[in-house]
Amino acid sequence: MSDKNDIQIESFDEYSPANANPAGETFENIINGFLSVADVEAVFGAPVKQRDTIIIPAAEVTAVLGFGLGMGSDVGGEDGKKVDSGAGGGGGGSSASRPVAVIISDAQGVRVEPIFDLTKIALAGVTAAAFAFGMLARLRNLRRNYEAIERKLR
Amino acid sequence: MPAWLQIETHAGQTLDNRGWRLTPFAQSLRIRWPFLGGGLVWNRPVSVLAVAPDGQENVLPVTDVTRQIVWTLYGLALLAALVAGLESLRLKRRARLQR
Repeated sequence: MSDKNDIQIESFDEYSPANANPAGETFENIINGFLSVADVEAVFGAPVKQRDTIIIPAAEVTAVLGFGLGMGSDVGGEDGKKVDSGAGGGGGGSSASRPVAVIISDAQGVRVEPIFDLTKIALAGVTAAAFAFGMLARLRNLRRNYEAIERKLR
Repeated sequence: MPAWLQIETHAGQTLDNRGWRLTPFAQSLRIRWPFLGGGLVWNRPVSVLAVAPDGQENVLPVTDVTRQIVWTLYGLALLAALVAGLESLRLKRRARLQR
């Protein structure tokens, strides 16, 4: 056996690029977590079984991720050589999940029951009503002003 | 479809209950920011394929009632804004004609 074959590596993990660069591992984990949102398992939860009834929860999952990297160097000095350099990056993201419906399979068959998110509906209702009232109030003021102008012109 | 946009429909694990076979389907929308790193993933349930014990297939749509109501409310608010805008234009035109 040659000397080359006598070399034994205890663990390959020691030589993995992730170990060489911990930031790379973190980055890879974030990307994997982000992409796992697109899996069907993220939408349909684990089925709940009670006697002969099975309930499958279904949810809408949204994830947003953004990041950026940058680097630069300052060239200066009498000989025009690079004197300073730096690199940096940053990012952020969020994910949200909202129950949409439950799928029920029982003795009567299979049916889909929708879930009403009353908080979201109420918030949207208040926002929409405030916006509509604001616009209508502005219109009423405008109409009053024009009526006043018309009265003066007469 | 452009490379930065991906729409896929995935089938979930099939479940058996009382002779019924249920297969859920989800649709995912992936957007990659064109000039930046990262992106957006929107994953939602679409339907359930229910196969009866006699072999009859039914596709049950999963309707997001909350989203429908919310967008209807926003649509009504926009409609009110549109009506208000048209009415204000009409008033301005009338005032201009009277001058």
